[in-house]
Amino acid sequence: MNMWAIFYRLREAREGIARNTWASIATVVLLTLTLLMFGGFLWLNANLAQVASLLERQVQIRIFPAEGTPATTLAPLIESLSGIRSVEILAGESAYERLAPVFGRETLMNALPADAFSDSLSAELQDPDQADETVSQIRTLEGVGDVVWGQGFAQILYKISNGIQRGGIIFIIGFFIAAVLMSLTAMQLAVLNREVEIQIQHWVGVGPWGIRAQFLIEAFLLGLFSSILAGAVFLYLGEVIQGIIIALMPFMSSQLSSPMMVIGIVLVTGPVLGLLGGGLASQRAIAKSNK
Amino acid sequence: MVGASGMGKTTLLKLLYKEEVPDKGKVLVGGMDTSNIHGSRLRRSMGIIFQSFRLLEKKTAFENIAYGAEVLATPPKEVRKRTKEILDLVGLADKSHRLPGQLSGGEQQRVAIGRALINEPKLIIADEPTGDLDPENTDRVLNIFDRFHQEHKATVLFATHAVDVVNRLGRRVIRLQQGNVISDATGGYWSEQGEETKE
Repeated sequence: MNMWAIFYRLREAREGIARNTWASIATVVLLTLTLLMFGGFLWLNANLAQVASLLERQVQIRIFPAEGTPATTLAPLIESLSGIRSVEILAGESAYERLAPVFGRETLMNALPADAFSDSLSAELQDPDQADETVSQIRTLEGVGDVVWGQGFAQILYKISNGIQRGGIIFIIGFFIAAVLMSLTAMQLAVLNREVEIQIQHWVGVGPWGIRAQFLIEAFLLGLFSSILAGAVFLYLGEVIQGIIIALMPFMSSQLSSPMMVIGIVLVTGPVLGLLGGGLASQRAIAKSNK
Repeated sequence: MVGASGMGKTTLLKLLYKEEVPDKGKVLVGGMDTSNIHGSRLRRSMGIIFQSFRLLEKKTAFENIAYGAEVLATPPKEVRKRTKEILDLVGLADKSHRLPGQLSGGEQQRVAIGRALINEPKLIIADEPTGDLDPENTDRVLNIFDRFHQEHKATVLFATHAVDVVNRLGRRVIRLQQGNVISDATGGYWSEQGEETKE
């Protein structure tokens, strides 16, 4: 396709979009909504992955040795278990130090015996999904008195975040299909409106790809316009939403992923969705030209 | 090419411009077997005209004619030059900015002919192009074909069932019946009874 072919087809695409104003607007609106949903879920998923990672890091198990068993003896045994990433010995005195600012050193000294806080161990898991199994293994070890952990809370959060991620993907796929169908419908309308043009092109000897190009360019432009709109919305709202999240959950400030990555993906996805619809619709237009 | 309706004129033309492909046998255009060439490439050397004008309603006469060259990516300067020449040839230079709806049936057909001629085809295939025209416009159309043939040495294949048109042309007459060529006479005339005579 030479320079003039592109010039003429761009002109025809612009005229086609103007001619089917309402179908074009409907396509752009739906594509933009799809891209907003898609980008929103991408961003949410990226952030949920960060939250999941944060939770994962926080799923720690506290192990109290049985009486007479030193924590230093248990530490290597626990560390050798397959589900354990690391083990840390927490000295009893440190618990005393942590409680002192809350209850007052004098109160604690009067209320508790000197050896009230024994040494304990803190173990970090390789995989939070395996927490139940790993805790059971720890409990069977000789010398283990008690095992305390998040009692599944963190695990539940982790499962929820996994579920949201999976649901999000299904939702995105659904919207993708709807967007392609909308683009397909708009382009089929364009094909119907241009039956005479297609016939003329066919008679003067334009090849199948030449005929198809007109619809692909038109669909590409609709997709590009939609992605620019969606990108602009993300650019504007991304910072605002990020600000709200950080205000509500300051600990997330270093965990949130930037919306710029999402904007980049959305800018590429819009034209691709448009081209898919345009490509499918133009099949009908070129069917005659394939002889 | 003459013959009553349903005798195979349109089918034969469609085979020539590869709108249809033969079940058996070969179709040769300019000595080339059409089965060895893509339809679009073949049609680039042809100008195809129908009884119905099939013009683009929102484009002017100038734009409708130019469209035939634009879709083949002809540079704009060349398109303008050729379109002006064709408008002169079809006698519509003074109506170039009119929309099809503002033109008579004969003028619309001349625009359609102009669009078919703009790419300077070697073969013009016209399927009943004067079918809807009055005698005056029919004469004009025949003159356009004659002039184009003289100036560009292009072959004009004209399918019709109008006796007066054939006799006015006085050219080679191929008569079809039930899909078969039943006569082929150069410089022939067609009588009301459907018989050819040689000049």
